[in-house]
Amino acid sequence: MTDLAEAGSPPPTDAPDALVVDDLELAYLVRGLPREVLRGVSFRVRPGEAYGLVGESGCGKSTTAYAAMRYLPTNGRITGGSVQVAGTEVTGMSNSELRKLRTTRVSMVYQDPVAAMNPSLKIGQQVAECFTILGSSKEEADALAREALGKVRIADPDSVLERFPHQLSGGMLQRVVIAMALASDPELLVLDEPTTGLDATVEAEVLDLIRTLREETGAAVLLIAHNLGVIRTMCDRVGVMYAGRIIEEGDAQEVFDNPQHPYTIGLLNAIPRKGLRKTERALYTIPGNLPQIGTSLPTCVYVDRCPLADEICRTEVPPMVELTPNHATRCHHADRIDEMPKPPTDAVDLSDSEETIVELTGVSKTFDQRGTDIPALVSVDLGIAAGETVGLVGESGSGKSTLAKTLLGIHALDDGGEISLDGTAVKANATDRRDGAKQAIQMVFQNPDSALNRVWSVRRILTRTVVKLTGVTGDAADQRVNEIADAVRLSQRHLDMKPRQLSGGLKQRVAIARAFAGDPRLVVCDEPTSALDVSVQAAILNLLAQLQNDERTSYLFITHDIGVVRYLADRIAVMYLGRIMELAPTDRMFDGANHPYTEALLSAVPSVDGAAENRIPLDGEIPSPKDPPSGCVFHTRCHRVIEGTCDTQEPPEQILGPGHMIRCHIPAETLVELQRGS
Amino acid sequence: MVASSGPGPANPGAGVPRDASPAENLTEDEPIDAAAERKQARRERRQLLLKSPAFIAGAIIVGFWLICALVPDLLTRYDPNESVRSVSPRSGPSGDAWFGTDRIGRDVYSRVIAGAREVLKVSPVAAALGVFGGTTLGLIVGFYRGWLDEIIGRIIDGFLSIPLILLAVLTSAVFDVTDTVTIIMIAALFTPVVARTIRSVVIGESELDYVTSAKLRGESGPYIMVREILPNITGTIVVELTVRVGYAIFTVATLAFLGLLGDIQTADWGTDINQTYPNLQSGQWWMSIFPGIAIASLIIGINLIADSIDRVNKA
Repeated sequence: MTDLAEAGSPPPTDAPDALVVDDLELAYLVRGLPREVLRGVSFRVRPGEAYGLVGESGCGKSTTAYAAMRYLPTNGRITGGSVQVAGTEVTGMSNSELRKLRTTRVSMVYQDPVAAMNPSLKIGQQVAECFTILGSSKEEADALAREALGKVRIADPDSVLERFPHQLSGGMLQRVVIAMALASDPELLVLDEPTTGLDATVEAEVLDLIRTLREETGAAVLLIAHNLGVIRTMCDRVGVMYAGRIIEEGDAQEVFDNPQHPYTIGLLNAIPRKGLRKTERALYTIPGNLPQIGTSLPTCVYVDRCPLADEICRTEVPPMVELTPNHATRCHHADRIDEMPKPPTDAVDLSDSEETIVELTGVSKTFDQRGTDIPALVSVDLGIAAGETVGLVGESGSGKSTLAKTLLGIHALDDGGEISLDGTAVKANATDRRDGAKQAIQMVFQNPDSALNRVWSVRRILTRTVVKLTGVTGDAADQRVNEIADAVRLSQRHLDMKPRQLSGGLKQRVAIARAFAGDPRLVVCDEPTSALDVSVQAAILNLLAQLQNDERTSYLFITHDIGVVRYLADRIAVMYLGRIMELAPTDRMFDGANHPYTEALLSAVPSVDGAAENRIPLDGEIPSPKDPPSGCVFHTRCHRVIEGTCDTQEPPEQILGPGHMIRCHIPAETLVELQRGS
Repeated sequence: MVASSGPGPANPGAGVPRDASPAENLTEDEPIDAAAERKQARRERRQLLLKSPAFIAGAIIVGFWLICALVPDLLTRYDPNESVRSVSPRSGPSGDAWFGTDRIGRDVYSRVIAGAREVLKVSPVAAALGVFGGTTLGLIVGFYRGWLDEIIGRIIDGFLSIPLILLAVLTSAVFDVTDTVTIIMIAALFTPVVARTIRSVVIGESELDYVTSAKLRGESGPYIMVREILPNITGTIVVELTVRVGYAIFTVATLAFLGLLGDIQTADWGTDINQTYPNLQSGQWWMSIFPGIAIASLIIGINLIADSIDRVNKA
C-alpha cells in the first residue's frame, strides 16, 4: 500500500471501495445462443483512485465498464459474479434503484461526445437538466450549469450555454459531457475512451482536465482506453484485459515498465516507442489473431498465441500470481517470463537516394464554399525521393489529407503550382493523367471498410486493379494477383472472400496489395493503421517497411501517431493551416530545436514510456482556414510569439541544419538556446 | 518486382527477413470455404425473414391475392360479370352472396376476387419500370452531382408539383387509356420519386473510398456506377420496388375510382367503388366497402413485406 500512496492515490480510508467487480461473467445472446464476453473479471477501484482498463478491441473492457453501471444491451446477461458500487450490489437492482444509482453515484463519459449530446437542444438546457433531475429549481439549475462549465475550464460559459452541440468542437463538447457527468458529484466516474476521437493536443488538454478534476472532486475514476500511453499518464493502477479476463494487474508504472505477462510484453513490444526506427529493428508481432468475441477458449485464454505455453496452460485456469503487493499476473509460468523471445533484430536497410521522384512546387488548393474562398493549402513545396518515407503530421484541419488528395489528383490544384513526376509535370486531375502517372501514384486509405467494395471478392478487387493499371490480362493478370497477394501474405483462401469476411488487419493488407498492384513509385498512406489494434498495427507497419525495402517505393505517410511516424519516416513535415511549418530529417526533428508548433505538438503526446516533461499547452482551436490569422498563421497560439512581428509579417524560411527548414521569425540560434534551456 | 520478394505459398516465411512470426494467422485457421460461408449468411438472412411475423402475414395476404388474380374461378361460384339469378340485386351479405350483390345483381364477392387481376396486371410492371428509371436517373445525378444534379433536381421538383389527377386527366384526354398507357404513366410518375431516394444513397456510396480508389485507377463513370456502386445499393432498390408496388396499386385504384381507366364492366376494385359509392347514402355499404378492404389489405400486405425486407437488410 505504501507504494500506492506514493504513486498518488489517497491513503486508505474507511469508505468502501468505489467499485468492486468480483468474478464477473457476462454473455451476449446472439441468435439465442449465449456468447461469453467476460470470463471472470475481478478488480477493485479504491475511493479516489484512477484505475485503467486497457486491451485491444473485443477484449471486454467497454463491456466491463457498462456492466459497472449495469448499462447493458438487451441481449447482455450477467451470468455470474458481482458488481458493487460504493458498497452497494448492482447486479440485482431494480430499474428504479438503478436509475437512482446512475443519477447520484456513478457517471459515465462516452467515447463520442457528439453522439452523447442531443443535437437539437441547447447546451445550457442539457447541462441544466442534470441539476433539475437532482432536485434543483430552474433558476438554480441554470446557475449551477454555468458554474459547472467554469469548472471544466470553459472560458466563456455564457456563450457556450446558448449554443447547440454542432457549434462546438469535439474537445469542447467532451468538456461539456464531463461537466454533465460531474454534476451529481459522483463517487465513481467511468470514462470510456474519452479522448479517442480527439487530436493529440486536445487529448492532452482533456486528460489534464480530468486529472485536475479528480484532485478537486476526489471521485474515483475507471478509465477505459486502448492507448497505453493514456492509461500510463492517467492511472494509478491498471488492469490489462485479454479475451474477457484481466491477465495482468498492478501499479501502472510497474506494469508498463516491467510487464510480467506474455501478452503485456508482446503488446508493449509491438508499439513503436522509445524512439525506435525502422532501421534499427522490425516491430514485434504477436503470432495468431485476436480471438473473436464469444468463441470458446481454452483454460488460459492466451495459450494459442503464447510462446511459453505448455500442457498445464490447456488444462488448468492460471491463477493470479502475486509478484509484489502491487503487481499480479495471471500466468502459470510467471517464473519463466525471462524465456520470452526477444523482439526481432532484423531491420530494413535503405540506402539514401538523391533521385527525386515527385516534386511539389508552390502547390495551393482553394476550396470554394458558397462563394467564399477557403485556402486549404498555401504554396506547399515538397520533394520526395525514391525509397523515401515522408511523414506528414499536424492537427485535424491542418491540410494533411488535402495535400495527399491534391497530390493524387482527387482534388485539382490551383493554377500556378505544379506537381511533377520524374521531372515532368502531371495533370491536376487523376482522370486526366496518362496511365503511367496514374500507376505511379497510388493510395492506402485510412479505413479499409470504406476503401474496399463490400460486394467484390478480394480477387476481383486485385485483378481489376492489375488489369486497369498494368494492362496485362488473363493468366498474366492472375499470376500478378497471386504475386502481390503473396507479397502481403494473403493466402489463396482469402482471395475468394468478401472484405467483411476478413479481419481489420487482413482488410488493410488487401488495400495495401491493391495500392502495390501496379508497381507504384509513390504510395500515399493516410493513417493506414489508426483503425487497427496495436498488435495488428505492428504487422502492417512491418509489411509497409518490407515492401518499401524490396520495391524502393516512396511513401507519403500521414499520421497522428508520433511514435509511428518516428519509426517509419525518413523525413517529417509538420503542417499547420495548409502550410508546412517545419520539414526535417526524423532524427533532427526529435533531437532538439523545432518550430514552436512542433515543440508543442511533440510535448502533447501521452507516452507509454512515462510522463512527458513540461507539456506546452496549445490554447484554443486551430483557426478556420477561411480567415487565417495575419502574419505567421500560428501566432495566435504560439507560446513564443513576438508581439509586433509575428502578427504582422509572414515568417521567413530558416535553415536549422542540413535538410532542416522552419518557418519562424525567431532566429535559429535563439530558438536552439530557448529550447535547450527549458 | 513484388514477385522477387514474395515467398512461395508453399514456403511461407522463407526469404522474408521481417515479420518472420506469422503476424496474423493466415493459413492455420480451420479451412473455411468463402463461398459456402456467404451462402450460409444468405441462408441466415432468409431464415430471419421467414421467422418475422410481419413478413409471414404480408406474404399470406399478397399470396392470397395472387392466387385470386391467377385463378379467380377457384374461389368463386358466380361469374363476376353476370347477375346472380338466385339473389336479388342490392341484397346485403348472405349465405348465397357473402358480400351481397350490386345494383344489377352481380355477386360482390366474386367481383372482389376477380378484381385482383386488374390491379396486379398493371401495378408490378409499372413499379418495376418506375424503379428502373428512377435508379438510372438517381445513379447518374448522385454520382456526377454538380450542375447536372442541379438541373435534374429542379426538373424533378417541378414534376413532383404536378398533381397526379391533372396528369391522369391529361393523359386520358390525349390517349386511349390502355394497360400500357397506364403502366407508362405510373412509371413516369414514380421515376422522379425513386430517383430522389436512390440519389441520396448513391451520394453516400460515392463518398466511400472504394469509389475514390476506382477513380485513381482510371475507371470510367458508367463503370463505377454500374459495377461498383449499383451492387452495393440493391437492398435499397428491392425495398423501393416493393414499396412502389404498393403505391402503384393505390394509384391504379385511384385512377379507376375516378373513372379514368378503361371499361367499367370489368371487375376492378377502384371502378367498382366508383360505380357503387352513391349507394352508401342509402345504406348499401357492402358494394363499396369490400373492394375498399381489398385495396387496403393488398397495400398493407405489400408494405409488411417491404418493411421486413428493410429490417433484415439493416440488421
